[in-house]
Amino acid sequence: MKKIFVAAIILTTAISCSKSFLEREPIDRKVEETFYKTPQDALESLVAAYDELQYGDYDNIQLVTEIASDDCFGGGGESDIPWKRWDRFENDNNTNLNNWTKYYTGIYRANIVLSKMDGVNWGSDTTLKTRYLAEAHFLRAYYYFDLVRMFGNVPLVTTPLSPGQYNVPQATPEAVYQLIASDLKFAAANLPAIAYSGIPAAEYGRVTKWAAEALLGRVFLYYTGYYGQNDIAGTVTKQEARTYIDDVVNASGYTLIDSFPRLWQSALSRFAGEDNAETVFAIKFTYKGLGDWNKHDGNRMQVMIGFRNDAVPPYYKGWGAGPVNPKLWEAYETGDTRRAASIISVEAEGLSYPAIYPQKTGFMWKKYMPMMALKAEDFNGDFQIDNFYDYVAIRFADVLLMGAELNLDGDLGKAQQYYNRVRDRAFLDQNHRRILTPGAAGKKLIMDERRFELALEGHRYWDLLRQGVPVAQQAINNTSTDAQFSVSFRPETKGLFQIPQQELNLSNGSLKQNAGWNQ
Amino acid sequence: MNVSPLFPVYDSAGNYAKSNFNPDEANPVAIMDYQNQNRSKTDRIVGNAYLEVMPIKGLKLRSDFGLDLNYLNENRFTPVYDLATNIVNLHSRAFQGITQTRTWNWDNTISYQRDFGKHSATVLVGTTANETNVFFVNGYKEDVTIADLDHSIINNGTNEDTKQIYGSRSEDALLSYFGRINYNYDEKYLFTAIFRRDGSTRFGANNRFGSFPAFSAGWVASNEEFMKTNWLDFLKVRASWGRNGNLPAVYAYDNIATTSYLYMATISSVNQDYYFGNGDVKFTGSSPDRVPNPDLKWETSEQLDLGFDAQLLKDFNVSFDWYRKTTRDWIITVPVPALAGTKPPTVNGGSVKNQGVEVALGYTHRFGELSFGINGNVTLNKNDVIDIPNAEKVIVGDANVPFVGIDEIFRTQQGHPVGYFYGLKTDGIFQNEAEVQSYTGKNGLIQPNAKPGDVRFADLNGDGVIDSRDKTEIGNPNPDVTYGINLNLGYKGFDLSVFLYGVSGNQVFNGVRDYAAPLSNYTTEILGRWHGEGTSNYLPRMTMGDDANQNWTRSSDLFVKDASFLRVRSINLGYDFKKGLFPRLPLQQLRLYVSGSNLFTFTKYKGMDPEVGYGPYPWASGIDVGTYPQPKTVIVGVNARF
Repeated sequence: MKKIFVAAIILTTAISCSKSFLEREPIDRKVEETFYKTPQDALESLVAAYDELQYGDYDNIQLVTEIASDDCFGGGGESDIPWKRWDRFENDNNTNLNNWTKYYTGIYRANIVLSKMDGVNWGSDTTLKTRYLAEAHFLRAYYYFDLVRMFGNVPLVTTPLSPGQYNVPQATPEAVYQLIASDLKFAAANLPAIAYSGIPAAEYGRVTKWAAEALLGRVFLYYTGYYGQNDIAGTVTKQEARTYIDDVVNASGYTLIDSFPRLWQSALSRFAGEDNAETVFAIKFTYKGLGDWNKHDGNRMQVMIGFRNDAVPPYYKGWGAGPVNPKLWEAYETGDTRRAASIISVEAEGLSYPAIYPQKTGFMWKKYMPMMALKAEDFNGDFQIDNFYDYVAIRFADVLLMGAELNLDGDLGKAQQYYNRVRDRAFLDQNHRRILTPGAAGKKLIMDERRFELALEGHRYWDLLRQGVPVAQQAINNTSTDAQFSVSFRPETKGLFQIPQQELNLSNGSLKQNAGWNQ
Repeated sequence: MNVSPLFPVYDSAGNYAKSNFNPDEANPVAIMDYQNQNRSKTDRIVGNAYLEVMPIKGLKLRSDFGLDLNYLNENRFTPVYDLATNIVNLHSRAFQGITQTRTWNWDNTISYQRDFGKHSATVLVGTTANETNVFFVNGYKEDVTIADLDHSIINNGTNEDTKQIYGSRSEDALLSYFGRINYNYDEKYLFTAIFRRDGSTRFGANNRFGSFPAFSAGWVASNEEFMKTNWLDFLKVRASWGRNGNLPAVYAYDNIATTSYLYMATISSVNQDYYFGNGDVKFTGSSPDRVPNPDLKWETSEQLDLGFDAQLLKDFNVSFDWYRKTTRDWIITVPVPALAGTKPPTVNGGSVKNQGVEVALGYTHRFGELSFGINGNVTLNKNDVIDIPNAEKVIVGDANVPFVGIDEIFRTQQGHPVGYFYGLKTDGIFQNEAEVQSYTGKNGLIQPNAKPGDVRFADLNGDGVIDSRDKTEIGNPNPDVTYGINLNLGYKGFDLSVFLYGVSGNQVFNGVRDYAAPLSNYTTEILGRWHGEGTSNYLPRMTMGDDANQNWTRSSDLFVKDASFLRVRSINLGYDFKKGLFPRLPLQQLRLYVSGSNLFTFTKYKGMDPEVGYGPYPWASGIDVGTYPQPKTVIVGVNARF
């Protein structure tokens, strides 16, 4: 008996003394000390930085900025107050919290990639390392650009922060744009110049040199326009921006596809397909999340603009957000194939759409509209979260119009040629060309063309703001005898969005609210 | 509760009726039926074995091993349903799951007890080790061949695309060393000292172990010769001071595995996929789970207690305590700015003090056949945060609680009670446009967006605008006083016991109505709203929730209600036939009883239940989100003992 007991005591002591009894490792997680070592680890960290692109639903930036622009109202049900607040520039507390969080999460993940690549064992070939770094730089720039366009005054974070470092004050817009520009220059310089036809189909969705160059053009035009500057804070000159855009036009192999309506899913069997020759950069979506709300792999914006409550064949159901302003429908010229390919006129298409909801106009989005014949349920998905149409963030037509704008006061012939390509495709003939002239008149023609070509693609609000706050105000203000459609842009906000109250609270005073918004 | 009263539960054919009014509105009875079809079975084996030897007198060696095995099997079934335009389930689903939990505990102690005349001492040293392992596998398959709960097994599902399997395993272990000395002199002077050193897998190498001493001393005055009286039967004066350790709490939104490694820089690969290529090929993404805190250490509760217990005149019992309980190195997960980029760290965040007195009085007596007993206790407590380890001494709460769109309503701050309600003070209702126009500060109108019938918020800092800088403490979810009364009566075969429980001095944040869902129901309180000059100076006009004045999306004292209550927690009335009418029954007891719980509640609170108080964190409470109230129950039963 005693012997057994003594043995027990010895055993206990053995357990007690062995460190390993209390030193465990998680079974369902990797650990940072042993991660970021192999090229596969590096790829996983980069994929996590891409993953954040897919976030956003009712507050997706494409939808929110279209609602804030002159082209759409808020719409949706009585409960969908945020959409009406964005439409009318009304104060709220935290409607922009998810966007703020999304962009900083994406920035954090890109910063992780940038800070960890040196510790990875790449072997003798560092091609992958250069590529991953370039892609992470692009993604960080992409997130910052959306963030700084929305909020204007944002903290600049370029490395993963440690506890105690979180109260970062807001940086000047100039500093943020400098980072965006240098990130994109890095990506453009370090990604290979492989033309569209040479890109393996399995790599569609990855960042390319062309995407970085095109985004640089967009950033240049926005920063110089909105802030009234000649260059991006000494980082990118106008001549450089032209060179980048010209390079995409000439060397990327991207081109306009033959017919505008074929660009969109609503063309059904005639749809040119995703990753077509006009898709310079797209955010990839899929139904393969299969109804799992924890995954964000589907395009959750699409259900928002669907026909409210019930499908109206051939279109599918959703929540009726962003009713299109009839003014946009009316602004198109006769013969422009883009009108009926961009907008659904309930009346013109002879649809029966009985749903009643605030700010209903009878005009719906056709671009990105979920289609009855391509609904997520048919692939075992959920109609709310598994719509699967990629968001085309940079389209070649946009590149051409940026090129026209940048060359307007330089190489007018080139500008005219770029502009003609877009217009000829839209009207399917050469009889609708307009003559560009240097200065305001030519710029006006290009901005109008952008509105028609890129309608509902998430560019309009920014295109207005970069022409100056008075232009935006004049376009956005909407007077109507029906009070629900009355919109007054508030110039004191300069078009910037309200910084989420929760973040102001958590910053302990280091963040300041943008002008014109409640604290 | 938020469903419109415009459609019946069942239609004329006896099926669940649908709302033809709101496409997002489902029949709540049908939802309860369809979404709660589950069945679980638990098999449990609990065993304990010990070995004790006494090699010499007074020396005891003891080894004690306990094992607890818990096997849980679950089936769930979700039918196909169509309850509203937007509340539709197209795929029936059969779910099966198995969870095994295995816990063992092993104590080993050596103790030595010895008396020297009137001195008596015991010395004990020992170790405790325990470990909990959880192992689970869950899965489901959709489109089942036999659509009911009895046949909800995975093999009856037919959809290969959507089938899912989940499984994991986790471990959690604790190891302690401890020693104890008990000493007493003649049953008059008592003294105990304890020292423990506890280690847990939930902490990293830096702070895996914590040390926790405790001391107590007592004097049984009534055992002293000079205190012998005929009215004082027992009197003990006592004092104690001690510390013990607490582990990180398990949060509802986290699973055990991740809370076990809060100190570690873990990398998650869950739900961070991206799909590249024309065929949407999945790539796995990985990134840090949360901000790690390698220095996370034990939370310490320190308690100082002074008190006495007395028995007087045989029938009266009195006990009194003054206590001060201080929680140091409070383990807490605090929100951090989103630019942290990942989940916030769990930290040792400050200290909280609870100080108060507790008094218990009791009286029991037999009057012939009638036995009578009454016990009452009352605790007066004051809760105070004494430190938060950041420059502002504040832990900021979440926005969007209790409904989407509302600003932060609770926070924890040095010098305030834990989780106090934080918001604007209101100052009545604007009765007319002239009142709006006359509410001015240094920048002109203070509430330029207000209309008659809107709330007038107090500009506490006097800067001429209403904003977050005007927010202040508007309520406290922690009661000042809690009390209970227990009454027992027995007469022949009858027995009656009544238990009352009450609290006072606390408030509830009534967030039951979701102002982001403007079609949800109001209580009848809305009849007293402002609907014209002079009609109400408290409840604002009715809006769809999008009023520019933000009457109901700013946190304010409009939501904060007094939640003091006195509740008849239980009443038991029984009659034992053995003691009464039929003493010869061949049973030890045959008792018929009626018992009721929560039958009566006395409160001014207008919500369903003043005692239900949700909080999204362990340190936040008292937020009424319309949780199912505590039910009133009446049970009639029979106890028989052989």
